[in-house]
Amino acid sequence: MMLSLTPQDMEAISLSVKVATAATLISLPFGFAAAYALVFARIPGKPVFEGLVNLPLVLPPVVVGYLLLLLFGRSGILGPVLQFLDIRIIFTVKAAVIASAVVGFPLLVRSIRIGMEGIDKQFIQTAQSLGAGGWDRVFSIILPLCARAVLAGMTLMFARSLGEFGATILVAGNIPGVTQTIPLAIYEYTNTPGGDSMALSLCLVSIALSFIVLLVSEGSSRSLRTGRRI
Amino acid sequence: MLLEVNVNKQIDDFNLHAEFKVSGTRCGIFGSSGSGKSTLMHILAGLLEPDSGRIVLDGIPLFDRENKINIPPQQRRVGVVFQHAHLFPHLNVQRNLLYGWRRTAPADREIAPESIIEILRLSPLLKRSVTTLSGGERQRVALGRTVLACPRLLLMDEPLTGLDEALKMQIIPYLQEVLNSFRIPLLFISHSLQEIEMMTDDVLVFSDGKLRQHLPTEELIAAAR
Repeated sequence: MMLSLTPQDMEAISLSVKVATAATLISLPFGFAAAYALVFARIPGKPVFEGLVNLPLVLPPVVVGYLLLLLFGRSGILGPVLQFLDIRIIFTVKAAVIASAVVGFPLLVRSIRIGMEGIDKQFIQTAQSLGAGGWDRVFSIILPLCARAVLAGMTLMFARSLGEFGATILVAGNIPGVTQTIPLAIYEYTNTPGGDSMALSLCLVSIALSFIVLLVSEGSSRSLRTGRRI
Repeated sequence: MLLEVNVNKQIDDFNLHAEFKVSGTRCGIFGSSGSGKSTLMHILAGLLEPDSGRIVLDGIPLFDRENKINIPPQQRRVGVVFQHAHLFPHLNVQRNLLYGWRRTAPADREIAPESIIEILRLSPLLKRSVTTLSGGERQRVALGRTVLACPRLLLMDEPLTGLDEALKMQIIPYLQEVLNSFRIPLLFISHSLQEIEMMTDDVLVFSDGKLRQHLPTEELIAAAR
């Protein structure tokens, strides 16, 4: 069977990659900070914070989407502020990015956290006794020693974003060329008579993209070292 | 060097009480495992906060509960060599060596990297990855890295434990040469009488979290014999 893609499909593919990239990059500093707080910081109410971070992982994506609507919608909690600032989020690509970021965030944090927990604490104490302050230790020791985990988390989040459907369709809609990503385009094809082969083409693209992400991740992580004791 | 210590620390069922003054340049902390040696070292380095008391090094308070002083480890200039070298695996030997030196204020850089590299015979290793070093080489690099941070006090926590006898005998001359060359005050923690005898002039004997004796090393050795 020939892989046939329409210009609209190409737009959906391009948009998916852009949304997933933006969601992953925007979430990265927050995900790193959340993982750092969970592993190293002494903060009150840590279990509650941990629960909040992990919540999107167990909530149905549609529920996440609905909560985002309640937050960013015209009559939502932030609605008046957004209207005052003349910022429109719902049914725009921004909403697709936010939906992907929220749904994929726990995967990013979880992976970075596992990497941070694997760092021998005496590396950090050694750096401290050698004169490294807080931020210095983060960038010179902690980040390099959990770089593989950061990369793995980014990969997971990117892949999750590529497949995000439930939350996205609620907050961003399914507007071809504007907010229609690969899963939304597949959904539309499956509801269109004779759209099966087009849906299959996009499925193959989706599989190929996910595979490329895994290959890139595997290749990059080989060149990074883990935080083992030397 | 004048180190004045009077601290208490409770960790679960274990209570450490240490009260002593050390004015020599090479002092040992001797005791069996679980006697509180490592807890004391972590407290002196600022890596563990005592419940009460004070620590004063050369007239400068590092910790004083009453006056709410607790200088963070990165500002204490107290160097630590742990039992395991803990060389940073993502940095090569040279960058490991210079890690502390680069973070030391230029005015405090009393020791030149070249002199340490020469004394510890590290030139051939500089570009190597630390993952390829032998046990003895790793400890030499760890020692060089700590000394290059120009500490006012050097703490060594069982640095020779885990090395075989031949390797120990190889490392000790390097250690002594570094200490003699730069006159860095040393607190050497060990449970080995042989190491205490070779490395220290006087010794604090700990057991069950309490300081039991403070005496010249020769007296401890004579008593043990």
